[in-house]
Amino acid sequence: MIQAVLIFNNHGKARLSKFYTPLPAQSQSALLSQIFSFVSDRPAGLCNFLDAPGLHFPRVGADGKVKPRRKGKGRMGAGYGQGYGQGYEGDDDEDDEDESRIIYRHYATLYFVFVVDGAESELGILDLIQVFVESLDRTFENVCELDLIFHFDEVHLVLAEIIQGGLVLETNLAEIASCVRQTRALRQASINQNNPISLMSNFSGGGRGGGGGSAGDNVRNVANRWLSGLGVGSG
Amino acid sequence: MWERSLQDLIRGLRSHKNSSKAELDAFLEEAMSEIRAELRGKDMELKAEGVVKMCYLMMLHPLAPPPSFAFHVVEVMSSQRYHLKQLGYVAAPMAFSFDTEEVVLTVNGIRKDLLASHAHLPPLALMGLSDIVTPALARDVYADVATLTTHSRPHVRKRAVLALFRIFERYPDAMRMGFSRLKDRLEDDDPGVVSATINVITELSRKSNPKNFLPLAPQLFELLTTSSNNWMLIKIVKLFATLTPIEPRLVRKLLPPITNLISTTPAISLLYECVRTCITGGMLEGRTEAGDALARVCVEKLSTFLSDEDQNLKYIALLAMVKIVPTHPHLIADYQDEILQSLDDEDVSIRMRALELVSSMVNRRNLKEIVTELISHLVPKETKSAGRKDAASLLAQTAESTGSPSGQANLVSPAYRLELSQRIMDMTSAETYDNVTDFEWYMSVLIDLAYVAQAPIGAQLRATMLDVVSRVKSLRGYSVQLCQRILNDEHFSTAASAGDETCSEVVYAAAWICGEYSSTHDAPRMIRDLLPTSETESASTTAVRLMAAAKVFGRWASDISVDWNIKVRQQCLDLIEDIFMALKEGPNLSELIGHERASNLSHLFTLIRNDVEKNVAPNDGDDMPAGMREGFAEDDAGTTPKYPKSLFLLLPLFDSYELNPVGYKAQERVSLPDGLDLDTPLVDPALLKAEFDGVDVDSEDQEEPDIDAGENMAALQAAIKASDGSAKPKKGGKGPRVKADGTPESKEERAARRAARKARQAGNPHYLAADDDLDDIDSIPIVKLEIDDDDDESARNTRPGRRLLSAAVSGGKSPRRPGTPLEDKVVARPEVQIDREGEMPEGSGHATPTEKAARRKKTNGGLKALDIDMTGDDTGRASPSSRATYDDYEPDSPVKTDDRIATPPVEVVQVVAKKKKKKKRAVLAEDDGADTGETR
Repeated sequence: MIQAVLIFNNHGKARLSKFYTPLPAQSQSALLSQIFSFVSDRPAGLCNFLDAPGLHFPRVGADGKVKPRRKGKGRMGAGYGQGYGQGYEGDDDEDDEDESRIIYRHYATLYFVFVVDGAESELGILDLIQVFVESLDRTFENVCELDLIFHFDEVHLVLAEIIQGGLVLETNLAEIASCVRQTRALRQASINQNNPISLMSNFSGGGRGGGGGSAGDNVRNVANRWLSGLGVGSG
Repeated sequence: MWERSLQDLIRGLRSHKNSSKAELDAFLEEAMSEIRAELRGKDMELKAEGVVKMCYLMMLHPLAPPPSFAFHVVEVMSSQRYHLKQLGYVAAPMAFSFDTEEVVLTVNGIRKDLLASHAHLPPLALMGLSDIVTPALARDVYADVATLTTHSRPHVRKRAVLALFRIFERYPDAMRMGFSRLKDRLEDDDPGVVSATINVITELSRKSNPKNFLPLAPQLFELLTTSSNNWMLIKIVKLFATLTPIEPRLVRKLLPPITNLISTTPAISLLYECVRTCITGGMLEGRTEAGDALARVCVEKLSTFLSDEDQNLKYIALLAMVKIVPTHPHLIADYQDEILQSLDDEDVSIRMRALELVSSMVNRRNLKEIVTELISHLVPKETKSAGRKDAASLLAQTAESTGSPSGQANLVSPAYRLELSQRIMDMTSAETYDNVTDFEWYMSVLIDLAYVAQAPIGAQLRATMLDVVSRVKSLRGYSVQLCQRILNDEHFSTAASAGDETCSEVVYAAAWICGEYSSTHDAPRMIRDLLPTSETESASTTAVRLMAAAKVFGRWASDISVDWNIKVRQQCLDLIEDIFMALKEGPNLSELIGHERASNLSHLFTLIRNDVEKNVAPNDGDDMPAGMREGFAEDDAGTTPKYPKSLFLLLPLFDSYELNPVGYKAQERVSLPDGLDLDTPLVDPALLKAEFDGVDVDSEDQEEPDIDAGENMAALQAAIKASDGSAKPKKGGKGPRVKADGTPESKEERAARRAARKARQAGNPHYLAADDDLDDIDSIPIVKLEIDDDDDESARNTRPGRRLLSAAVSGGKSPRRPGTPLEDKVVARPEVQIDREGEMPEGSGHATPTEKAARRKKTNGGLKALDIDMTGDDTGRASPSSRATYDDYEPDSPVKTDDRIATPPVEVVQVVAKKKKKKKRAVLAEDDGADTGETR
């Protein structure tokens, strides 16, 4: 199954991180920066499979704590997230079929990274990344990094049409696009339904409140204005 | 309405791109307090906004959400409005963790959404459910999800099927009830649903007992031959890889379609999966003709990938070839050159795979070539063309290059160097050096590694060097030569003094080997080489150097006694003087161990020096013809010898027993003598703590490794321990000491040894004064370790099985390593004698409880615990057409299939209790009717 889907940019800033098995926040960002450090070192034209000595995927124990990594293994140790409450004694005798693999693609400013176990086909996942990117492209029309930044909730929803709970839900581009369109329409309808004012809310892409726009202003002034605004609002 | 939206937050964050950390932190702090207020507020719209913002911040910064975050997410999830609910479901996996109690609160909301008449709500709930399901939640919602697998919309069915997997995973009991529903989905009209079902079955089959899914084989087979959906085909092929090992008859059936796919499919991903299934599914095993032919096709296909432009295919090919090596090594061997070339690839991913493949290809014939190639990758690029010839040439190469690592290929990162070095060590030492035919070469490889590895493998190198010399007697002379060179090598001594762990460990090993095995020829020089020169060398290495020097001196001294004359006497005195000089100036005495050795030796050598000085040597020894001298010596035999007796002071300290490799696990097989109570503390710990607070730390530190030693290299541990003296009591445990020549040690010698030991202990605050009886460690009843020379001899001459294994398991010879018989004919085992087994304690034929426990098959976590045998009911429901196809190819099993049809639809479920918890569950039998009743 797919263990995680990550998107980050050329500077290692996360644009999406979706873990299909719970992992403590610290390990999530540690893993992301670890993968980034390996991936960003790789020039274009190399293979899309990340395989490096010293790369480890953290394993989660039954209590949700990260287990110490096995030593002396080049590929990432896995056995990660086999269901909680079941015990993990068997982790050590897993063969390399169960090891995590990292498959990535680099598009312009963004890295798309999938962490998968042995049940997935490496080349298949490579295609799946392409499907994901094309779906995003259809959703946002010529997707760029900014789209992903400002609509990070929507990116999650697109991904949810492709993968559910770590298993591939749909690979057909048209099918995915139509599902995404549907949910989008539903959402828009829901927003408009009860609250006509929120037409100009974030979901329609427009900014709300003048405070946020003055990004270049002195921070403290802006902050003070917000705080007082908040006080008025809640009072 | 002055609140910031997500967009505003993001803009704010972006405007802080170049600001200081403090400013950013202030901004985040502010945003957090705002979010907290929004979450607390009553306005659901704002609450949802707060949730989204929190999620965004959590993704970018490892911020801890407010404690009530999960609760607010639950609120948003249960909102009546679709867009808010959707946000809630997206945020839920980020908000909930293993121990979030709030998940309980979601049960009703999720169930309501699952059963909602609004067509768009169930998919949302199923999506969220898959991410947050816990065992309790799985139990509560299972029935609803199962119902949804027959929903009118394919989209919902698809999601429900996938959600079932997560539910089964968390709540295995549901699998018993829901399996048939899953199976029904294989016949769904919608190809997407079928594909999802296959996906789930593949996962389940990998994670639980694949046997459960054998009855599905006919349907799967039909899909395999009819479908054109590559995604699904890949999964089916993967699924068969888990099924064929438990149902070998499938192999025959699968061979035609798989061969067909391999030769026709344009999709490389599918081709690769077919090849891999052939391999992992055991379809190539058994050396059948069809299997061999298929293997050849596979390897040919893969080899075209190997030289492909596309790096991905190259990687995949290497990955797959590793799998084929165990059954068809000769097919892969044809491509050895290409594979070795891949080691040069600029892509570290490919090099890693090539490395793995190469290590699995190693056999006795190609070991030298491969190791040479691998070592050349460790050698700096510019000198690489020269290749590796021997230690001396490398020495020169490295000496040049170590100064300027700039020219070093940047390909070779430290982590990769380590990987490479470890691979070399592993492939050579595998199966107790089974592939090594030339041990002199091997020793020089180890030393080359020490020169070029520049990776932290010192401990392993040391262990291997010591292990090899102790096992291969004929290697000792040559090793001493190499090791003496190391001792004299400035590169090593400076590196070791500078704290290089690898060099320091190798010097340690070299010193020990020289001390233990050097001949007495030119011993003074050897002793001077051994004496520590650097104060910054590690204390343990210093200690080994000192002991090694003493050992050589002991042997030399007993040798020169034969030819004792005034010249030799002077030589001896000069040497002792040098030793004193070194003891005074050289060693690193900062740590106790070095200090202790130095003071031991200085006392012993004082004794010897005084004795030698008192002695008046005959000055005509050299002038006498040989014959006369012998006669002279014989004449004198009755009276006092001419040489000082103290020349024999040191020898018995070291040479009274032979150091042999100790058998793997020998330590844990020493049976506990009757009446030995290891549990009662000798001294009341409380008392000890009060009186010696902090004092004992040092000795404890040294004892610690003893306990773990059994795991690694017992032989080595024993050897090292013996050399630094801390394991003396254990050696005593061998019972009557036996000298190298096999005769028991005389009383006098033992008394002398005891006296020496007492003298040592008297000055050592760590020894408690004890009376004589207790102090006599020889009298402690510990099982005698057997040193059976005859047995060893025969074991060495024949190809040895593991004595330990054969004794423990069946008493017969252990099977040979699965190598090709062909190979054995070509390369006859050379006459090198290797002691592969080591010593074992007497009566160690039985396995200890810990070993038994270790041998017991570990049950896997998760669904592995659930061993469901559902062969009873499922085939009964298979469609007639697919049944027929399945039966066609297994005419030899009519009884079984008839049985299946005849059996009423009963699911026999056997839950294998996890071994540790001893939770026993009887075999449950559940009626299909009860099942459906419950689920509806």
